[in-house]
Formats: sequence, C-alpha cells, structure tokens
Amino acid sequence: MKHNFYRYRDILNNEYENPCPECLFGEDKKTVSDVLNKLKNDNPDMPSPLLRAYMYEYVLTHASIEINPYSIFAGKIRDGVTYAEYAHNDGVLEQFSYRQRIEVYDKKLPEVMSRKRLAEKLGICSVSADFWHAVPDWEQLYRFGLSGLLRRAEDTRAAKAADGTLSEAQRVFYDGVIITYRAILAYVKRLYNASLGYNLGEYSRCLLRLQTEAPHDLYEVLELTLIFMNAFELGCERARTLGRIDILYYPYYQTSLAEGYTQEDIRELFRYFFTKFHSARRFANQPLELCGVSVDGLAGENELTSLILDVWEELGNDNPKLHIHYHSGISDTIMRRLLKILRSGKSSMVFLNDETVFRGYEKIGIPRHISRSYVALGCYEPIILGIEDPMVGTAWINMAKAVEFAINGGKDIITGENFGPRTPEEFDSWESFYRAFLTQLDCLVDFVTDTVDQMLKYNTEANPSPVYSGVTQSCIERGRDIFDGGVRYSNTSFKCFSAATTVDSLLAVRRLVYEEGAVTLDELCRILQNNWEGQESLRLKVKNSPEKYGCGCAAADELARDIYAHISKRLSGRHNTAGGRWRIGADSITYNYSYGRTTSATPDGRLKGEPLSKNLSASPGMDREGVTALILSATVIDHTDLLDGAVLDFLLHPSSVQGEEGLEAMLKLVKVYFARGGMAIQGNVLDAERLIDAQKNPQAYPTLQVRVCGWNEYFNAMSKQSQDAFIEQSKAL
Amino acid sequence: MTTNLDNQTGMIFAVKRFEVHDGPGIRTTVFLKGCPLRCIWCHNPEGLTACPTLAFDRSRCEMCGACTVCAAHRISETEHNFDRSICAELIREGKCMRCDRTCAGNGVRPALRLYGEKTGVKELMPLLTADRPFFGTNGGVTLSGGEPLLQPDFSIALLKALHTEGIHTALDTSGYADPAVFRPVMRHADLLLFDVKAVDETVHIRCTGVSNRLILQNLETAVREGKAIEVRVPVVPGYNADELPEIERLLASLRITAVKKLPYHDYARDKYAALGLKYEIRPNKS
Repeated sequence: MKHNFYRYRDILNNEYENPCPECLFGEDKKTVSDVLNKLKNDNPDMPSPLLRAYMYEYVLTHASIEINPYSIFAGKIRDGVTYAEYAHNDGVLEQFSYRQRIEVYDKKLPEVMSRKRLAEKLGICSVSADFWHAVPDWEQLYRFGLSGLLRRAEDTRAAKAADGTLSEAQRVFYDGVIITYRAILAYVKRLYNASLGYNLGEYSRCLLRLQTEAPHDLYEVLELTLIFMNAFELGCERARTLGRIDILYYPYYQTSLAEGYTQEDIRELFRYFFTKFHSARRFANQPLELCGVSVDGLAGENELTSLILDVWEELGNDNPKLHIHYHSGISDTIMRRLLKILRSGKSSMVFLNDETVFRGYEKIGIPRHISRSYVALGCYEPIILGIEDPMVGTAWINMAKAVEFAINGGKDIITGENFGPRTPEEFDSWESFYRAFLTQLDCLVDFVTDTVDQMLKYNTEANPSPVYSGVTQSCIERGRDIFDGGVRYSNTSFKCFSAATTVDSLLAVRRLVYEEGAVTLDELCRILQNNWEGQESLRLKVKNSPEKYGCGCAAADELARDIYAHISKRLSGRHNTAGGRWRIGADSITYNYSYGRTTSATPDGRLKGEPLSKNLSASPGMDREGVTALILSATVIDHTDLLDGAVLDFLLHPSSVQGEEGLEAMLKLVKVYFARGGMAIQGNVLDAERLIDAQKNPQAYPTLQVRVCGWNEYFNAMSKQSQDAFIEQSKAL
Repeated sequence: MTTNLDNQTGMIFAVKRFEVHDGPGIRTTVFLKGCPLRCIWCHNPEGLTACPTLAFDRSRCEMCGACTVCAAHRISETEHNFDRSICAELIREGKCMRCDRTCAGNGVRPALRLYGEKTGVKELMPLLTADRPFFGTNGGVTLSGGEPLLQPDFSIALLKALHTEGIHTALDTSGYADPAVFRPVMRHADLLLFDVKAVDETVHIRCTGVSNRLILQNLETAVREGKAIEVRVPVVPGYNADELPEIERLLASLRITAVKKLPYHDYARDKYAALGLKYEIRPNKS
C-alpha cells in the first residue's frame, strides 16, 4: 500500500470545503429539490414511509456524487451542497424532513406547537421528538453488508406475506426499506462506475465487492462506514458515534494483517479515515469509542486501541473525538496516556464511567448483561444499539426559569407572560417558596413529557427512517420503523440544566428574603426586572456569598441533589406513549449561552444575557475552592438518576499538573470522581495568558482547541463571547 | 509548649487544595504567616510578615465604593490610595476596619484581601481533611508558608491532629530556626521538604538576607535522625544558579537523593504590586 496521506494532507483536510467541480457527477441541488417537491405534490395520499423511501431513492440515484482522486475513501454524495452545509442542516432531503415534521405537528398538534413556541421564546426549553441523535447498529451493517441487509428485509417481507401475517403497515414499512436499500446499492454502483475513470485501483475493487458482499477486511469496513453514513445522514438523522471501534473493528483488523497489511498500512488507513471527519467539520465532532468491557465482561482494550490512539494523537484534530469507557479493569497505562494527551491540548475526549451507566440502566429496568454493550452517542448519552432508541435530546429544560416563575407568580419576569401555574407572589417562609419552585419545575417537566408524548404518536408520519430501521434487526423482525416500536426499548430523554444557577439563586432568595430580610420577594422581583440596576452593591454581595454549588457548601450541593432526585422520582415508573421509560440528563450543550440571552437576571447575581451555568459546573467563576471541591460537590448528586448524560468539566492551569506528579494527580481526580459515582468527566488544561495571546494573534495558534461542551472547537473559530468566557475562567485559576 | 491541641491557634494566610508539587500525591497546603528570610525571589510575599497584610488587586476593583475607608485607605474618583505603614500600625493595634470584608470585587474574586487570619486547629481541620478522598496512600497535608518554624506550637498541634486522622504530613521549611525549635517540629512530620538555596554563606545572605549555618546544621540533624527528606533547590539564574555544583556535592555527602530543582518563575510578580512591594529580582535569562 502506498503511503500518500501526508503528501496530500492539505487537500484532504479541506476536501469538503473545496469540492472538485470537475469530479462531480449528477444533478444539482435545485434540480433534486424540484423533483422531491414534485414527488410530494404528485402523491398526496402516499404513506409517509414510502414517500420518504422514494425521496431517498431519487437522491441516491441522481444527486451529484464526487470522486476525490487523492483519497483512498474517494466518494461522497451531495444533493448539490457541500458536506459542510449538510452539517448546518442545509441538505435537500434534510430540509424536507424538517418541513414535513413541522407540517405534521402544526396540523395535528396546533396547541402543543403554540405552547412549544412560547417555551422557546421565553428561554424555557426547545422540545421536539429527537430524530437527529441516531446510531446505526454497526455490527449488523458489517455482518450483513448492504446486500445482506436488503435480502433480510426482502426475505422477511416475503415470509410474512407467505404466511399471511403481513399487515398493510408492515408492507409499507418493508417496501420503504427495500426501495431505500436498493437505492443505496445503486449509489455504490454509481460511485464504482465514476471511480473507473480515475484509476483508483483498490477503491474501485472495494466498491465492486461491497455491492454484493459484506465487508471482509478493515479497508472495506471503513469504506462501508463512510458510504453508509452518507446515505444514513441524507435526512435529519446523524450517525452520532462510530461505535466501540477497537472491539468492533478488531476481527477485520486481524484479517487485514493476515492478508499482508502492515501495522503502518493500518495506520495509514486510519489517517485517511479520521481526516474525513475533520475535513467535514463534523458538527459537535464525530465520536468514536474505546476501551470499556466486552459483552463477556472482559476488558475491551486491545492492540488496536493503542494503534488508533497513536494515529489520533498524531493527527491532533478536534474531529473525531474520543469517548473513553472507563471501567474498574482499565489500565492505568492507557489512562495516563490519555490524560497526557489531554494535558497537551488535544482535549477532544470525554471519560465515561461504565459502572454508573450500568446502574442507571438498572434503575429503568435494563440489566447490565444487556447494557454492557452500550455506546455513548452525541456528547455522552448512552444507548444500547439495536435494542434501545432513547431519543436523547428531546429537550433541554432551563431550570432557572422555575425560580423566575416562582418569584413572579408563574409569569416570565421580562415579558410578563404566563407559562407556569399561578403560584402566590409572596410566601411566608422559604419552605413555601421552595415548594412553589418545585411546582413550577414540575410544570416544565410535565410540559416536556406531555409534548413529546403527543409527538411520539406521529413519528411514522413525521419522520420515517428506512435507512436507520433497515440496519436494525428487531425493526425487520417486527416490521416496524425504529421510531415506531421497532426496538424493545423506545425510551425518551431530556435534560435539565443550569443546576448551579438554579441552586445559587434559590439559596440567594433564602438568604436575602427569608434569613436577612434585606428585600421582600416583590422587591427582588423588581430588582431582577430592572436587571440589578442601581443595586450593584447588593448584587456583588450576593455573588460573593459562600453559599454556592461547587465549593463544598453542603446546603448547595444537597439542594442540587434533591432537585434531580425530585425530577427522577416524578418520572419513576412513568412510561411514555411508546411504552418506554423516561431518562433525564444534566448537560447543557450550549444552551447555557443561548438561553442565558433570553433569561432575566437571576437572584444569584447573574445579569440578564450572561451565560447560565454549564453542565455540572459551578456558576461561572464560582468554583472558588478548586477542582477537588467541585468533584466532591458534583458527586453529592446521584448520577444514576442522570442516565441521559451528566458531565463535569474541569479546568486546570498547566503549572498545577506539570510533570509526572501532575499526571498522577489528574488520574487521581478521575478515579475519585468515578469511585464516587460520577458519570462523565472532561476538561481543559489552559492558561489565560496563552488564550489572551491567541485572541490577539490568532494566526500563531491555528491548532489551539478547547473543550467547549461535549465537543471541541478551535479557539480561533469561537465567538468572542465564548473566547472571553474561557479567558475569564482561566484567569480565576 | 502547650498540650491542648484543639485550642492551639496560629496565623495562616492561605489554604490551597489540589497542590501537586508540595510533596507526594495530591495535597492540601496550609500556609503559615511570617518568615525570617527575605528571599529575593520569594513567590509568597503575602506570607513574609507575621502580622496581617493588605493586598489590593486593581484589576478586580469595580470602584463600587462599598469598601470602608480609614486613615490608611482613601478612595478618589478613580483610585484607591493606601498608606502601608499606617495600615500596618492599625492592624497591630487591633484597629483595622477590615475593608476587605466589605469588598465586592468583580463578583468573582474580591479586590481587597487581608492576608493573615488567626485560626485554630479545630477550625482548620475540616478544611484540611476535606480532600481525604483524593489523598490516597501518598497524598496528605503540607505545612508551608512563610515559615512554619516561626509558629512551632501551632505547627506541632496541626501535625499531631492530622496524624490522629491518619493523614500523611509534610513540612515545607527553610530550616532557619534554633535547633531546639527545629527538632521537635521536624519529628512530627512524615516528610521534610527542606529548601537549600546556597552553600556559600555570602551568596546565601545576598539571596535571603540570612546566614545558612543554622539551616545546614538542621539539615544534618534531620539526616542523622533518619528523616524522610526531599531537598528543594530554587534555581535563580544570576543569584544562586552557580551554587548548584556545591549544593549537589553537599547533598551527595549527606546521601540525600530526593532532590527537586525548582525553576524560577515570575508568577508572583502581580502579588508584589498588590501588596505595595517592589519586585526587585532581575534574573538572568541564561
């Protein structure tokens, strides 16, 4: 195998941003869009799964494809737009899928949609059925290949038709899958035919084989992964993890070695493969997973783990990102290696605690011999492939709004609009105020669950998923779409974030109003309406209060624990309308910024527009006692209640963790956090001076990246607001 | 020396958690106030005097006007002005109005900070033991400063209380004290972190303001008693860097193998400005 990666690296790094116009074959975006519109308009009575399948068919067989002669994974599909635009929700079929969903919900659930829009406007949450966070059952894809998956659907349909058990709904479902998978194979054939004009040798041979066979070696697995992702992600679904690739790819890796690939050849394959995700600027980075335990309960790390890490570290990109499954048997050697890489600035990774995930699943009735094979999609949300669809991101609830509503009788402080129930505007005790807060919080939780429950009834109409369903065994066995009862556990999940802002605000109300009598609740409400204007002294006094989450203040930490326990208890035993369970998480992604902009000033001294707290972090600047105190605080909360993802961010100064002793200290932090039940941990090792210099001289820091939330961004590409936030946090170290 | 440990009090100026370079493992370091040395490169100038000292970080001041003023502290429209000698006198006389307690700073950290707080062993212990989950088998608590040997009773009381809790202790010291003071304190610590800055007495006086005779005598005592020792050598070009070969010979003769060289840094520069002190050091770049 020729090793040309570094020769063509600059081209490969930008292959999606800079398409090769003379290498395009097929119809442009407008043509494809017009045809899809016509398909829809000409077939108003066609069942949604069939219409969607025909749309996939058209895009896959007609939309332009591109061959990049410099890549060993040469092909990509476009429907007239670049992949970078795909990532920004601009694909033609993707646009259809979003419009279709809105049409269905507007028509069937007008009142729900109206309230949903109000919730978004008021900075409470954005809620929707989540079709975006998806993961193909990779093991099935590699075992059967595309032709095998097609045959499985055809054979199952034929068998049911033969024994008279094929219902009309199932017929529509199977036909949708069959049309789609035939189209995916046709797409592969198009790529193959186009590739013949470029003398691409092994690439063409690979595409020829993949049309009729399952992949047999690592190169074919990687190629099939990329091809399948292209098809999978034409709609709104995103393949939000590559899976546990050290375990998944291992037999194919061994086959490749047996066929004469050298270790360096394998590394070269991964260089090209990983660079695909980097060049596509994958939104929120593309996860791949390492370590953990196998289905037999044995340690999953193997020689492929080290090789993958070698290449990942060598490339030094933010994409793909690593999800490391930490378990009791993981080697300290690999942990030290990972932390050393993180310390060096390549921080695009998160560590997940297998034990907490297993216990979280046990709480919703899924035993660990099943959950052992979980993957973490998206940022850090567990899913058991082929068995569970958890809709991990139906909503992110800004809990600080419940404080606001409790202060203002159920009304938004800025707009005066009523969202929550009318609770009193004065309370004679802190306890009664806190009960009103819980009442408002319950309302927000019920709003999300009721909304999602309503939407779930229209999943097939809103977003049929033939590609996703076709690769999932139980969907084919049951004859049902993955979002329509195709899997055993149709769970639904949402996040409740801004914990620190909420807790700090509640304790500020307790202190100011009910302990010190410094202000009445009504006066506080007006202070917040006026954004603390004229009250700077009081505001700073509140900000300096020691009663903050994240500093070892027992009252604050226990309040955070109690709030999540309250929500968890409320959902315990409750089922959604698909028969699945509810899961909650605590992460914020970047809603702490976007909802911070629309949330009024808060009693903890935060001004309107300032960010809310992020993930399980203390409020900005409030982690005054350092990382150990933060870990101790965050683990007062029961993370097994937060199965949908709970991550702690650490920020360390380089001088505090330099040398071997610094590395050991970082390892200890992670171990203690996990021993105390923490679910996930990620972080940065940064110093403010370097960031300030990078802000002034970006050209000198082209590869400086920071862990933003569940993903990394290049510092130079971040908004000034985000950059400033990191600088301020780093200054406080 | 008193024997009532819990009631023993002393003056500290900081407690820092997650200290990785103040002894083995993850440690909590308590900084005792007052130091008999005046090292030119000192990076804890807030710990030099035995009595409390006021620091003002202008970058954290929002000029909110909430802080109290006094004969030592005046505020104009745009700035704070301090008379440091009056400030020290008011503190010594117990007449300090504690402007730091009324400082809101920038809402994240106060701008005014009075370094130096009298506290007792009993009050301190919860904070010192809070990070026990992280100490493991080799982490623990380090006494530093300043110079712990200036408060021997308090140091011993802390070390004993920590041992009662099963926590590993380290004593970070210049070794500059009468042997009758040094020996008992040293004996209560599990590990000695002992600074050696120069062997040549003239160099030592130039860099620290004091002779090194007592220091070297105490080091030999610690070696003779079989104490676990890690010698720390701050390396400051243009001041003591040339002493390194002699220091190495000395340590070899004492069979001390655990040696850590501490490269010079100027992270403390801003502290000097905040304390109204001049940052005198001009290390060579070599």
